[in-house]
Amino acid sequence: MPLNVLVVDDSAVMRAMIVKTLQMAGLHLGTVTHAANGQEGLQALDGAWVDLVILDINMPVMDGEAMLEAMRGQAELANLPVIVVSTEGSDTRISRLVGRGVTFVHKPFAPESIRDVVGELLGVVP
Amino acid sequence: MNDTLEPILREVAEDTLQSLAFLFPLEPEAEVDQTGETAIAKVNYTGPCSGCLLVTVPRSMLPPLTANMLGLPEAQAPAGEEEVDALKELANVICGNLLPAVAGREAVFRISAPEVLEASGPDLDPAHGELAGTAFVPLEEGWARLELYMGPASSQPGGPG
Repeated sequence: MPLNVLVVDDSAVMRAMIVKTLQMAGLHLGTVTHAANGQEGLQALDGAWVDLVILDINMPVMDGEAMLEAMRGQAELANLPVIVVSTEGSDTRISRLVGRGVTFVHKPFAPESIRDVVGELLGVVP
Repeated sequence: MNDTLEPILREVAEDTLQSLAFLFPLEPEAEVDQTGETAIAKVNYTGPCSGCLLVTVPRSMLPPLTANMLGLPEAQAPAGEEEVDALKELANVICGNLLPAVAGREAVFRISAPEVLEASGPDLDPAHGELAGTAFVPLEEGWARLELYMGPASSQPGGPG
């Protein structure tokens, strides 16, 4: 079953890197949607079937934490799997994010770490 | 300037350049060509201390940096805006990894969106603090220079990327 993924990051290069990593991991991708901030990300989720959100934190307009909060407040999005990919180095903030049910991947990331996390979260074997 | 920051700056830069862009460091004392145009990315940060990180690279390094990050085939040249975006992301990732290495993992910093400076000599306002450390990293395909400015604590909005 193809995996529909929403990638939210203000860097187009980072979005492309993440998609490439998912492809290299051998995941069967369906629709891959790009968004440059949280607001665009929420719009992309409106009415679309998405299996996984890969989310940056520091973005203009609406950051990743605000998008995550908005998602958790909507019944249909509250349990959507989210992987936060960020340079965040503060244990305090990482704990807060993990407490909201996301999986955290640190930038720069090894391709295997994304593959393993996706496999674990969705039970997908590449 | 604090000389003890130099090895931290160097290590974070080397690790990031290798992991993110497959650009491998030479020995610190290796001589590399430093003539030619440069490109500078700046990232502001606030938290227990505030300031900015400048990352300078030769313009000739932008195509391999970008192509490696995107996994482009050799024949495909990256677009100009991709090169700017790649340099910004490089600076963002270096800064995000550098601050906890300098201030500890309990410290909470907020990092602003990176910008690429047009001028060769960046105008730094006093809020960006004093030059706290520098590192020069010779690479197989160019070089990178890091300059970390630090000042008093601040609490302006932002967040890590």
